[in-house]
Order: sequence, then C-alpha cells, then structure tokens
Amino acid sequence: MNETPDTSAYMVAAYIANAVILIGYALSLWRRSVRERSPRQGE
Amino acid sequence: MTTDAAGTIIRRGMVITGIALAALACVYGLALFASPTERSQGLAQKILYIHPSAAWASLMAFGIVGITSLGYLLMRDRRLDTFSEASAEVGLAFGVAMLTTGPMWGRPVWGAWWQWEPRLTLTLLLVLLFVGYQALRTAIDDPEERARFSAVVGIMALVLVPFVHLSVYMFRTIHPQPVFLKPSAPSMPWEMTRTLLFSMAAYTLLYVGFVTMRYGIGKRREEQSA
Repeated sequence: MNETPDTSAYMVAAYIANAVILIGYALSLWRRSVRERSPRQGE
Repeated sequence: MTTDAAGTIIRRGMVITGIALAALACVYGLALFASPTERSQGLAQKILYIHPSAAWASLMAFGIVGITSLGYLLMRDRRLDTFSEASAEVGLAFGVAMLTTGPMWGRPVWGAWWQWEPRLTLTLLLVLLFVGYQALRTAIDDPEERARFSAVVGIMALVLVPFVHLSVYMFRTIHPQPVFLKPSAPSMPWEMTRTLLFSMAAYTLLYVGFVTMRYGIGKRREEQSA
C-alpha cells in the first residue's frame, strides 16, 4: 500500500502566499482610499 | 456641505471586504481542520480549496469587465468605464493569487511548477491581456479615448474567458476538470465539496468588497479631477 506523501510544505507556502496577496491588496485599496481623500480634508 | 458619495461606496466596500476576509479565515479553518486529507496527494490537495476559488473570482472579474465594457460602448455611461477599470484590477489581484497557488499544487502532484498546456497557457494569456489593459489605461490621458480603447480590449478578453473554462474539454490537457460548473454532479466527497463551495462563496464576497472599494476610489478620482 502506498503511503500518503508529505506535501505539507507546499500547502503551507500556498496558503501563506494566498493570504499575503489578498490581504496585501485589501491594504493597498485602504491606503489608496485614505490617500485620495487627504487633499480634501482642508476644505 | 457636500455629500461624499464615493466615500460612502468605499466604506461599504471596506465592510464587505472585512466580512469576506473573516469568511476567508473560516475557509482556512475548514480546509485545515474539517476536511479530509486526500491519500495520493497528501496535504497539497488542500491547495484546491483556494486555487479554483481564486480562478473563479478572476474569471468572473474579467468576464464582468467584458460585459460592462460592452455596456459602455452602447450607452457611453462613465460609471460603466469606472466599474470596468475596478473589476479589471481586482481580477488581476485574484489572477496573481491563482497563478501563485497553482504551481505550488502542480510541483508535488505533476512534478513540475508549470506545464505549457492549454488551460494554463490560456489563463496566463488572459492575465497578461489585463496587464496590457492596465498599461493602456495608464498611457491614455483623454478620459473618453481611454474608456473607448479600454472597452474594446475588455470585450476582446471576454471572448477568451469561455475558452479558458472549456479548454479542459476542448483540448488534451493534464489540468483537472472542473468540480462545479459542469453537467454532472460534483466529483468530490461532501466534506470536500462543502469546503470548496464555502471558499467560492467567500471569494465571490471578496470580489464584491474589493470591486466596491476600487470603484469608490475611481469615483473619488473622477470627482477630484473634475
């Protein structure tokens, strides 16, 4: 009977990369929304 | 006092994105602790709870760009162009997630990070087409011209979307066939299907949150440049 291969490193890497990309994009949207607003704050 | 319509849209997008990111955390929990480990692939199989969802969100985003682009050419409504721009950028973010997680599954299962086979090649072409779409938008200053030219590219990309989905049926390919969006029943046990369904719902909500925020940012830029 074949043993289940140890491929956990690939899963961990994929889950971390996925979270970094999606949370990173969410943060970039948040930063842009704050930056776009700032010139109007003095009005 | 002026009403900040764009700010309201952005805030709504932030709330939806927050809920969607919490749902994504639940997907991670379900995948890691409540879904069985597939015997022949090991834990790498659990990448398939995030990779197809990213692909789904990316193709949906690109498909919507095509539809809103067509709408812009027919109605010349600037809001449709602003939405197309937002959806294209969000689709690229999901596309990067898809193209990053895919090879991490392919390496242990196929023995290669990448295969020049139809599904992967067409997907890469679609993502590169939208990189070009972003470059085009940056290169044109006149808003009307930019919207018109971008709409044409968006519609051309829409033609590619069904080919990406159907490529696993049309060509000889080593890429797995779809679990959903096919005539027959889902080809996985319920514990796995449940997690993947929840993941696809979370990514869909994340798309809605992202695109709402990005649309609000686009609206605010328009207001400031007017």
